[in-house]
Formats: sequence, C-alpha cells, structure tokens
Amino acid sequence: MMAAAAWTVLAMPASSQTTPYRAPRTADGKPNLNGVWQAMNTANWDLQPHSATAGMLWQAGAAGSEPAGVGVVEGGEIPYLPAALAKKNANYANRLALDPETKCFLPGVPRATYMPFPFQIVQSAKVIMISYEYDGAVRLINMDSKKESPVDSWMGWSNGHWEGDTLVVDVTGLNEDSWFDRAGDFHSNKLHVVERYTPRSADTISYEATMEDPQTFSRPWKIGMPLYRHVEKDARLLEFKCVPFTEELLYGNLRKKQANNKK
Amino acid sequence: MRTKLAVALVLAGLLLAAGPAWAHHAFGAEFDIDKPVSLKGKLTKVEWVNPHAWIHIDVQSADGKVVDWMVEGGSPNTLLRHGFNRNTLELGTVIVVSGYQAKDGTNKANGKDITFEDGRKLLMGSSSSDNQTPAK
Repeated sequence: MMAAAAWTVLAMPASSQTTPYRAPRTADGKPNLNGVWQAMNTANWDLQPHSATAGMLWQAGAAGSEPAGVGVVEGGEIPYLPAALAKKNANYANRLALDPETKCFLPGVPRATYMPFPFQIVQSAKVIMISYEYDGAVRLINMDSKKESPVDSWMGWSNGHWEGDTLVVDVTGLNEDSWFDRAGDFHSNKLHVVERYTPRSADTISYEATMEDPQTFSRPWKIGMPLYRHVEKDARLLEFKCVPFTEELLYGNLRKKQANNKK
Repeated sequence: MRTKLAVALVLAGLLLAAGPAWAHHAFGAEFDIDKPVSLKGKLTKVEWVNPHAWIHIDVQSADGKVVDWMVEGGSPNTLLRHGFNRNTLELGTVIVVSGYQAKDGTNKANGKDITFEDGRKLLMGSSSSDNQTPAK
C-alpha cells in the first residue's frame, strides 16, 4: 500500500492559465454544463491510494484485477470512527458479496459520478438533470426552493444553487446501503454530501465532493477529480441495465440444474 | 343510451362494493390472523421499498436474547400518508409494533400499528391496518 502521507494533494492537475476559465453561458446566464462527461480514474475501485492487486475472481485472471490509483481523497485517508473502520474492514474482506454494485443496486452519490460509465448533464434554470449510463440512474437537482426528502433512497435528493461559476449541490436523504467504492467504504443514512462542479476548460469540469456523516466519520472529508467531456462526434449514453445480468447470481440456485453447478 | 349508462353505473357500483375482498389480497397466504403479536424493540433498519416497506426491530425476548423481527407495512407512499417519514422512523427509536405473525412461524409479521414511547400511535397502512378483519 502506498503511504497515504505521500499523497496529500488532490489529484488535480495545475492549470497553465493565469486567469480563471470562463465557460460559455446558457440562455439564463449560467455556465453551460450540458454535455456527456466521465471521470477517468480508479476511484470506483478504491477512493484511497492503492496498489494494483489481483481481482476477486481468480477465474478472470488479469482481466478482472484491480489497477493502481493515487487516490482521490484529500489527505489520503478517509477519517473513519473506530467502530466504523472495523465495519469497513469487514466489508472489504467480503466485498464481492457485499458490494451493492454486484447486485446492480443504484450507486448513490458521489459514486455515480466516478463509475466507469459516462453521464449526461441536461441543464435548465429550475432543474438540472444528471442522467447516468450506469443502470439508468438519474438525479434531478432542484434549483428552485429547497426540498427535503421524506424517505431515504439510493440516489437521495439534490438541491442546487450557483456560487459564481460553481454549481453547488447539497445531497441528503441517501440510504445507508450504498458504498463509496468497491473497497467497502460506506456511510450511514445521515450522510450529507456537498458537490461542487466548476468548469475549468472547454472540455473539463473540476469536481469536488465533501462528505459529512458524524455517525461514521470523525470529521468531514473531501474528494476531487477532473471530469472529462466526451468530444467524439456521436457522444451519447448507451444502455446499461444490469439487473438481468444478476439473474444467475441471485436466482441460479433455484434452477433444477444450475448453470453454475459443476457436478 | 341513458338506460345503458345507468346499467353500467350500477354494475360498476356493485363491483366496487366488493372492495373488502380486494383490500386484503395475500394476507391470508402469508400471515396468520390468529397469531397476534406485540413487539417492543429498537428500530434497526427501514426498507423504503415497494410494494411493501419493511421495518426491522431488535426485540429482547424473555430469556434476554435479542431477536431481529421484520414487520411489513404499506408502500412508502402509504406510510407517508399515514404520517411516517425518515425523521419519524429514526434508527434506534424504541417502538411497540402490533401485528400478526407469519404463518411459517418465523420472526416476520404484518404490522398493524406502531406506538412510540411518548404514546403517539401511527397505522402502518398494511392489510391488517384497515377496519375490516383480513381473511384467513
């Protein structure tokens, strides 16, 4: 494992410009974030710094193994409370079975942002929609008066506002079942996420997310990464509805003769 | 034409009057009206899912052991209309759930209502919460 102390800066490339970038405007004068975007890192494997390692399924060999990552957490380490750290380690030990991604549950926030799939931002004055290719996950960011969720849900409720050229999104109402990554990093249903989307160039957005959850962490902590625009001519979301892909896993044992039964 | 409309309305009325039979679909298949339970315990998990939300409570049995019970309620929408939300059902709250146990004898029940420590009572919006007695 790489020493967390060696990676104390956010994985944000320095800008060569001296003046901040000014994005083109939408009709209502706000920075135009419309487009198809995607993160390009290994945050979905593990938010913290990590070496390359063998995958969870030996049958997949190199193809299923985990690439290295410098980590996207400011300061390197997620500040778990002691009891929560024990749970994270237990999660990690059994992550193939326990990770909600395995069963195609919705990724929650902020994991939806850095799943290895594109997402599309569709922007209007009162509502900004973020549509994720992964399992058709969708968020509606309410730009009007603040609304609070009456129930917990996988994707939570998002309220947004502009601070200068930055879209600030407040997310609450997240259930306790989603993970932050495949390494067992988790949270309670008291999690409060504040995202910041700032256009940094014509084809990149600077993305930050601050997590606050006094039941799980000893203090708020932050992740950061660039988001890259899909600039190919026919850039668009395709369909990734993964529930059918979990059928064998969830129900294969009900078949008289199992497909995965080697006998 | 008027007569046909009148006949159609009367027929529709008769069909709708058969409401009670529809309202308790599947109760008798899974739960036992002759096994009422009163469960006091700490709320450990709320599953806001359709078609039925489930609440989990840690109930301390007579011999001191803590047992996990799961209790079926109405849909999240129904629960909201009955006064429940994520703040009412805070994890760790001690509640008393009255309902009916599953036919297979497991620690599962159909929830009728929830009483909080301060005396507030809320209906759970499931089959046994209505005025009519569910079918066996």
